[in-house]
Amino acid sequence: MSRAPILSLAVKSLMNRRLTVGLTLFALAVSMMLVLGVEKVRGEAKLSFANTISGADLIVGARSGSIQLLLYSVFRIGNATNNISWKSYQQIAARPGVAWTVPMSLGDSHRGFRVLGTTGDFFWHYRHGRKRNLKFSGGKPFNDLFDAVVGSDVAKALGYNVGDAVVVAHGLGREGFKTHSDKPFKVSGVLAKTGTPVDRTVFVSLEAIEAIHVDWQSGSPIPGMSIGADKVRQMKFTPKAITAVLVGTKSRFGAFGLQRSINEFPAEPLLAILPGVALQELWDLMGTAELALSVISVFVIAAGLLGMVTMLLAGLNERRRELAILRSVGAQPRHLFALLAAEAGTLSVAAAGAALALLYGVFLIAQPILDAEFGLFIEITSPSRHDLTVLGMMIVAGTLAGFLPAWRACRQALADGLIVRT
Amino acid sequence: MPPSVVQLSDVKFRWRPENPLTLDVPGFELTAGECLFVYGPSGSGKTTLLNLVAGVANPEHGEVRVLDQSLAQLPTAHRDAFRSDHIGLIFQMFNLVPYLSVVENILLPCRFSARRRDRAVANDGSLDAGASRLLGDLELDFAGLGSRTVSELSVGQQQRVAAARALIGAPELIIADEPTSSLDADVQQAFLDLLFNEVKRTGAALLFVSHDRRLEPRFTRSVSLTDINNAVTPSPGPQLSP
Repeated sequence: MSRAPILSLAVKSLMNRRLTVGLTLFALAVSMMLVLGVEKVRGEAKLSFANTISGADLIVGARSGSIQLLLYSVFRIGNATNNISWKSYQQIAARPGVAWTVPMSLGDSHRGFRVLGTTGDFFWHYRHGRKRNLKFSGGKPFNDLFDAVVGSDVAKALGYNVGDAVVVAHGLGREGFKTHSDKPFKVSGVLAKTGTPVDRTVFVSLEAIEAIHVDWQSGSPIPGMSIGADKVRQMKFTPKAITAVLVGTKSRFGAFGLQRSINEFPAEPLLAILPGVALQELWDLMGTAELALSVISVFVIAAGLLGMVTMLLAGLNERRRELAILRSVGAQPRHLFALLAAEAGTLSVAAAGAALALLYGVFLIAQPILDAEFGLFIEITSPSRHDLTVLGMMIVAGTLAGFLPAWRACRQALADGLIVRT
Repeated sequence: MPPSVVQLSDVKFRWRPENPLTLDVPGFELTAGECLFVYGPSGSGKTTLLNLVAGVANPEHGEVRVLDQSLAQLPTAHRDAFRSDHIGLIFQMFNLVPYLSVVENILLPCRFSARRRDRAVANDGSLDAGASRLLGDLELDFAGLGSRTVSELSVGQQQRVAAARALIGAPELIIADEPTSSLDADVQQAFLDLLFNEVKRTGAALLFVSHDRRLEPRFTRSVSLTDINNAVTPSPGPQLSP
């Protein structure tokens, strides 16, 4: 008496109840798909976040906390407590292990968006997600002193296109601050969506930051001393200080040594951080949100399984005669138990397969939308070990959930005997 | 004297402890090759008798022996296995599993009993050949009906399929519970002919329970349940409530 006859009975019995079984299967598949999808998006979001800036090996700023440095240099949240002198920057850039540096100067804003003064190398060295380059959806990097590149959110929110004029405000307020209206910028390029703070940034050259402040002192224009844009264009600017530096090293291991030596920089107190480590620390701060997602997943799958158990239990009453017939031809209670458990197991396996198919279908449709709208790139890969483990656990849970109707079927069959007169 | 197939001695049974006795049978016997007609009005304990002989219910007193095996001494699972090995059952109607084909229904006992499977293969060469032969003997067309679902069959055809299922693998005891009650008179006679032939061929004992005494002359022996069951009042009529 092998189990296979029971399994084939289970499959045929399920096929006989196509409509209810199909609907239950669909509900279960959708809940399994949601769990897998949430897991996948969570993983990709985490990966994407951990790689908000994946090109640079080190971020250097004035000494503060690593999260604080990360927040103001990468996420443009909060302010630098201090600057790095241009001299120190040049010394770091000249270190033997350093492959490239990108200086960054922060402090001005444009209608609520931060303005970042940097060099054209930024667009070349900055990487996000899975080592993806910045792409221009229109235009090109800044070339002229008063060229600006805007992130995709900036362009969308303010309706900017290549060629539009931009007036930068001094400081970080949205309205009512002094503006650099005498030196308007022109949008030279618009970046494609990245899902990183780059989207909410206006980029100008480092020199431009100096230039718009050439006739300013201590945060306000020097009275009677207004130098026009054309005149400024003739001048040469070397920044005295910058806010932070992105550093690329020649080797990954070199980053650790360089980090240590920058942290012990003699001329001024500096801090170098490994962005990946700091991003991970920051993500861990949001652990509760992750936990909440996992808890929701558990409830989603519980709801799906509850639906299946309900269907099987509800079906038992109308299957009393069928179970009595099976008993009369020799099915023992354990066979009936196995039959119901096999039905739950078969349903779970079929639902898991359907869930995978649904998941890939949804991702195929959603992938370009998620990428364009949220800068979240979901890589469509074959199911990971983790996915398969989750699926396996759901199948086991589904089969175990079937033990309740299976136990009821045994009880009912023993009480009914062989003759059901209904 | 042929060997005993069913033997009840001093059997007392009630469904619930607070209920009166449903069955009180001092003695009852069925021997191999015998076709026994058991009759009685509804309420005379027919269903109870069948449940006891099939080992689904246990008497509170006395002993039920089938093929010289005391059923009470077997654990439930073993009784189920014993039943599938040695007993073929036919009920009044709705005998078949709706989602299985005719042949799958006939071969159901072979899924649960290795003995019946082996005997079917030994008799006919293969399970399909066994099902095919039985369908032919019961005047059903294997090629036309074998793969059909049972819902496409008439009631008479369904009962013959049920009989084929009870007979596959040649069990020693065939229990039939009002198998002809839902059939027309001429179909009834044909069904009985076929059933008797098959039982005779395998040498099984037939325990046939019915309320319809018109069938009685065709059996080798008949027993009135009201006569052997002391738990029921012999005269039919309204029962007095205590």
